[in-house]
Amino acid sequence: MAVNKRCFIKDKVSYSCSMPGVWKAVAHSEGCVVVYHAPKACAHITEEMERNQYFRMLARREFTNPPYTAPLITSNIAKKESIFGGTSLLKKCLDYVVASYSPRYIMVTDSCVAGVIGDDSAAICQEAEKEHGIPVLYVDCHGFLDGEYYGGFINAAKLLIDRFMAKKEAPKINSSANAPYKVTLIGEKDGPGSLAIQQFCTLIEDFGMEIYKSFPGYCSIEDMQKIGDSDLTVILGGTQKAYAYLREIADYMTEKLGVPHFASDYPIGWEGTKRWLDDFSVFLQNFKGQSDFNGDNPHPNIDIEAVKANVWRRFEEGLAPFKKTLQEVSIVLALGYINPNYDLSWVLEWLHLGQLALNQVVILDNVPEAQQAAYRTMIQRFYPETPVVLETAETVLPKEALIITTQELAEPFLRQLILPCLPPIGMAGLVQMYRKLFMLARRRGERGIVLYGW
Amino acid sequence: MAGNSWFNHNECLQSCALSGAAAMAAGITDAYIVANGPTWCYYYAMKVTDRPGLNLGQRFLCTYPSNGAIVFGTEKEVLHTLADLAKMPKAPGLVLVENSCAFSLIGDDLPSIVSESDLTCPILTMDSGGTLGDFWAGYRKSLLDLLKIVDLQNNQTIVKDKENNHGNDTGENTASFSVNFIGCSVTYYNELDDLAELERLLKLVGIEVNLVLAVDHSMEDLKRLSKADLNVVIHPELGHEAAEWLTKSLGMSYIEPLLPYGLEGTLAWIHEILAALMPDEVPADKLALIESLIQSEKARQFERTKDIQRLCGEPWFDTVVISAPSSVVQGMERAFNNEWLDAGQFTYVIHDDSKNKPDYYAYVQGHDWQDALQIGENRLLLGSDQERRLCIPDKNVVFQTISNPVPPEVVLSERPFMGINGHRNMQAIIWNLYIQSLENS
Repeated sequence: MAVNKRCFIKDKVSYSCSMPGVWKAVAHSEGCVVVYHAPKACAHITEEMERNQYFRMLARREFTNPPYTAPLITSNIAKKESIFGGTSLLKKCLDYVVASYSPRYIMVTDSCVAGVIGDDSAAICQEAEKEHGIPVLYVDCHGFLDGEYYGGFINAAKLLIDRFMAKKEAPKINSSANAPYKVTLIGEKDGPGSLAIQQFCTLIEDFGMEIYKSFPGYCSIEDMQKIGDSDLTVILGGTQKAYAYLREIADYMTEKLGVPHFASDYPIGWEGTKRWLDDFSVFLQNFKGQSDFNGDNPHPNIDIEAVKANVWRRFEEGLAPFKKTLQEVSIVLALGYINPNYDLSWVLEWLHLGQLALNQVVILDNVPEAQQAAYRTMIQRFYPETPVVLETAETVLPKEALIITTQELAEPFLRQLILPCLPPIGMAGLVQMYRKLFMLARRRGERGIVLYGW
Repeated sequence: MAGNSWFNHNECLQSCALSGAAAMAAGITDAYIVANGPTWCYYYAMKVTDRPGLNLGQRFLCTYPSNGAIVFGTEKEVLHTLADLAKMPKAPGLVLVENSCAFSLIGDDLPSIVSESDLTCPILTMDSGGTLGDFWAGYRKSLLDLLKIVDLQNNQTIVKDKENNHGNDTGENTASFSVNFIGCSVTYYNELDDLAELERLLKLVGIEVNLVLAVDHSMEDLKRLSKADLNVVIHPELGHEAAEWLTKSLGMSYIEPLLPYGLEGTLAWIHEILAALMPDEVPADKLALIESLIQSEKARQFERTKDIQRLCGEPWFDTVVISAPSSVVQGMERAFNNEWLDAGQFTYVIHDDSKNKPDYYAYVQGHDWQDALQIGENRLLLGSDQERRLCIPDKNVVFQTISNPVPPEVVLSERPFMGINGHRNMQAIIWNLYIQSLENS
């Protein structure tokens, strides 16, 4: 191995934990308290996740103080409970939560330890709900035993739909003929203050609509009770896996509330954006037939070409300050193993759209053969002339080039841009990536830098 | 003070035995750590443990069990990971294989599983995770288990020889002594800088540090542990049991002096070590040397602060909250009370479970300490990022990190908090925070 990677991660599925997913679903839902039926240190994973997000958002100057953050309590299962069971401890913990926080509702989920012990947490939650007279919702997941992060997120969201949302009985008719559709976002990308969300909202606004609610992370009970009034939902996933999970929520909403969803993930790259805009336009035109919406279509004549031109204009304006500098630099792409759910095509399209020179592609030595072939196909499409080499013992990445890489390389003198875990949203996301690359290009002298793309 | 055992994790944070055990092994340079548990447990333990220079990206592995392994066991995954280690060009000195809580419960017989591997180095196995306890419990257990598998008896003769070598024919005490530091962790905040300062000070009085247990040494180095004349426990919450065990097993005596924060604290710490090594007569010349350095430091500080003192007055805070592991809090309490700062009220919060003074707040038993930080107009918080985040909106609170988790900050120079140089650094920090607080108010 010539290129020293920061750490090696096996090419296996990441068996994540469902508990942080449950937390994320209700983290900023006013009046909620989250209880993990777990050893106390299990909350550490959630806290680390939150801490990382907090600083990431601070660094991007996107942090806004959430109006409410749900207390996170663990029942503190220890050795004794692993032998004798932990249900009585959970019950006492719920009593404590009610007495200490006076919550409007409690969201309870199990750890893998509780799953192995076999505690009947659902029964305890029912008992507590009866006794205290507040909703005590039990998410039937057990840490990493089932469901993963998104499993916790989805199941929590479904419970919220069941408990707090109601189907609008009367047919939905826009009271004002010109009132825009109410669009509810499903999923999130770093909270409502994030640039990614704002950029996505801009796309929705291009159609003359506005975001009504963001579910589930930032919804109070009152917000949830109004979600039945939404005209449609859109999904913010980012990967096939995330989209599939979030679509479960959207489908469930359609089933329970009759709110249709636009069945597409957020747009990625220019081709993806055009496709998304076309599909969304068609969806809106046909909207009346897809829902129980009985009013007049408030968006009857969408000039989709004008919308696209508007998006492209914003892209060009955004790229302009960086274009000349970036077109003069040498770029090397270092591709390591990535999760198969993640499609890197947008990276090539992004470089191509900026008319940037891709001097070399190095496929790192941890990439399995099938993924190597997929990389070569992807590169061939946008940069057929660019040499693609496999990392060998002699491979040295050039100090003078800008290195765009899938994983951090432990080389102090390289200028590295680490690709984000989730692709940036739409064309505005690509502009942000040009800005990052520009910062890399402006690094003077032989000073290495590791710049993260998220 | 709240007495229940539940708390809001947004306000208090305790990592588990998985990370504590890993933190112990992380300090041994040729040790590898294998977490046998879910990927996310592994990632978070790695995050708690990893520090610059430890190379844990290469040394801390995971068996990546699937969720089906909870039914079928993890033998295959563990052996596969150990086989990877066995193929490495340089054999590991030690491998620690630690079960997460879920895999502790299913009853996988780790010692039996690892015995099938081709590795020739010692393999330490333990059931860790949250059901065993917190970070400190994991560290203590793994350290104790490590000592039990290392052949420390071979050096008994050296210990005896050493006992006869600390005097000449005239009975004068001429030879140097050596000590071990027990209960140190590479993951503690500022630990390496502090240890370097302590070694420097002991060298001045003719005492060598033989080994800093579980900090920057190989497994081979561990064999020289018994050569020292005395074990000095640095953080009792990490090292007390190990020191006890070394006394019982090898007859090595130990002391647990309060950590040397402040000048007086430094003098007391050195005096206690000298007295333990030379109980008949503590060498006056060596103490005089330290006293002279302390006097010089006091004079230097007086000289350098008098201008700003004329301008801004002496540092004062209405309220000071100090939140850290118990050994750090206890040491700092003495320094704050006697030397570092005048304040209206001091409040102490202990991160670990060894709540050793009745007026200390136990971190995980309530958050009444936050009320203390509401008193007065200028307030000082010394703690971790966890406490800092709770106080961000309050402009009247100024902050200095003294414990983990650490907020994003860069410390490029050596900056101990213990010893004479540590006193200098802390005084500069307190002065500057005081001046900052004047502008905030």
